[in-house]
Amino acid sequence: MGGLEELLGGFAAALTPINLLWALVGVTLGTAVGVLPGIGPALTVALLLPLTFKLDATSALIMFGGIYYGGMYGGSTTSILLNTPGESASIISALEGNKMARAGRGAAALATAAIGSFVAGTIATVGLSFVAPYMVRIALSFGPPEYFALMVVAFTTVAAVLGRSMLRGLVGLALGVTIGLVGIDVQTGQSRLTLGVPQLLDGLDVVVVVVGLFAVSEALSVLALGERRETVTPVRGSRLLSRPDLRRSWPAWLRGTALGFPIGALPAGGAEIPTFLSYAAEKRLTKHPEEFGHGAIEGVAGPEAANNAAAAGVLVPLLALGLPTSATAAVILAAFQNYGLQPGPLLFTSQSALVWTLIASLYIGNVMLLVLNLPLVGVWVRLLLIPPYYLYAGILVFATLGTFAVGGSATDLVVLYVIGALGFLLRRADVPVAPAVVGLILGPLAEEQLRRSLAISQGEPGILVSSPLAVVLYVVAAAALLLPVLTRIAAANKATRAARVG
Amino acid sequence: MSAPVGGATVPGARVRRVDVASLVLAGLLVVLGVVLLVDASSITSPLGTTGLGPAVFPRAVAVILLVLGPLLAVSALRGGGDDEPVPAADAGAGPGDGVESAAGPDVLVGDARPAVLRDDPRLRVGVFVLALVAHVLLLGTGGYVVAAAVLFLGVSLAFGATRVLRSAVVGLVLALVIFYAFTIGLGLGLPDLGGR
Repeated sequence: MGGLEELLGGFAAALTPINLLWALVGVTLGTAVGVLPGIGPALTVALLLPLTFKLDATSALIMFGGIYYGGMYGGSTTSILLNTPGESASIISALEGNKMARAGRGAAALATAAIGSFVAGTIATVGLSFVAPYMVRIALSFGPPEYFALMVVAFTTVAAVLGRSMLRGLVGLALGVTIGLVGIDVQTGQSRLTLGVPQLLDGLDVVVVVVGLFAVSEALSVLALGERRETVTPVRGSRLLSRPDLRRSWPAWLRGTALGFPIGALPAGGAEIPTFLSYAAEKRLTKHPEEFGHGAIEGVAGPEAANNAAAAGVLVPLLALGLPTSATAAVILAAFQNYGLQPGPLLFTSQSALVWTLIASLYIGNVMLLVLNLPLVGVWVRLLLIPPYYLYAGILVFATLGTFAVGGSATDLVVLYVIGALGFLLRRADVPVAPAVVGLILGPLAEEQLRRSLAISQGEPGILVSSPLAVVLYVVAAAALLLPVLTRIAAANKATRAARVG
Repeated sequence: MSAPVGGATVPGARVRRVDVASLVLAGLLVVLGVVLLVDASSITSPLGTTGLGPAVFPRAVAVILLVLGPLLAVSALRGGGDDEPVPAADAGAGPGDGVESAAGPDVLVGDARPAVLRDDPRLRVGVFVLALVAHVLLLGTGGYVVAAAVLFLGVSLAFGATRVLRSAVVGLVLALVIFYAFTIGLGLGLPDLGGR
């Protein structure tokens, strides 16, 4: 039972009053910012990152875990009560959730989302506690070639899964990797792509890139579309689940968790897939098919659980392998790097106490969120009613503040604006921005592993495919690239055949 | 500003436009690829580097960019025919579409007064960009509080604020709170009035 003892030690460290306070601050801030329309989990984490700069590593990471889970919770409230859904993962819960709210069942929708998130988050955190040490044990035998192969898998799956086409996913990814090249090459001290600007020698900070891609470009896109008004559906009724609601919700929570955690825990992109799968599964299994599309509670319970379970699952490859597979995970990895910590199997052995305190605080944060969320719904609704002009003005003030806090110069603001303009172009061209964030963080790590491999083999490229595991991983990566193309061709054939028959 | 007015000012927003953005992006990818190649050619590998030098990975990325650029251009010119349709994010009931919800009337976000600025996307984006630029320029001269208050006012106007004075006051209060919270509470240096 590896891990249980360390986990208990983690609880002992996390349950001190001061650390409980940081966890509480984290979940509250995370939820409050996550509730704000237009702010997804990645931006929530990036905007709040500068707040943790003055804390020691343990407190900062505890607060960070709270922010991460809180941001996920906040997003679901928004998607249920506001009629325009925000980021991709919560679009699904908005489908049924907003319909439920409009049918006067908003309280039940919020309750099933909150309790479902708690159930899924807790089960998935238990999963994390047991799977991560196991993955660490396997990962300790990995050499640079295996790591590089793993990263190739992460690259291809992230590009394949997000966005409307593989090509556009790859474009986002390649741009992120390019941005990641800026700065001094760690191994040789050569400056790359700095265009003679001394401030660029340190490279581009992930906070600046995320804030530019998600906040500035989002604001620009909203402006360019012209004015549109949003409405908030009022919440009425009891905040508790009725017995029939509960009976319909709990199997959906468990199914959502069962889909979300394993897929999230894979060292490959695709934390968004489980929510879609869960929605499809609930739609097929429901005894009330007539309610789907008009506010079926299973359609909120399942995807919300899947979303949160996947969020915890993503921490498995992040902590055990140092592999970020979502934009939010990339920001969290950057937060670790701020403290000179590199997540991965070595962190589990060298900083074991820190890692387990973080994991323990995730359990605690989850309980806090459940306690906070049910009674505080009224406060979150009030946040949703902030006029958009104050909201975006505030977002921009905090976006520039965060940039200034991590960079400390006006040059960083210029970088922020340029990245914001780039993000606007990406959105206009339907290129997903999340792969760019993953590419920015993963690119330098992949390069390091590639160069390490070739240094070991004295430049002989055969080392990359020298182990069976690496070969298998490359096959998986190739499949991720080819499968969508093949299924599309198959679907097109089917469509033309159907058209001919019809 | 009611929803029909807002809707009428963006005619053809849903009509399939020529994918100019993808073409521009395709051009940018090619330019970046070339810049990367030129930059890589100026990187010298220090003596005794085993395996890959510092220029190899940038070259590989450059090649990828130079392949993706033309592919994206082709996709844009073919009207994105190889792509799946964008999933309908607006599947839900739109704002003000007359659907009466059982939970009572929906609460409109914001107030019903007309916005200070005309609802013209170009004007609004212009004001937004102006506010961002002013913020950078003011940081070094007017200090953080002035710069942030101006940014807040400009962005709020761009997003359809209805009262100039109220936006200015809210922005100033927020800037002051942030300034003192960060400099005293978190010990983070923000430029004060002289820009230092």
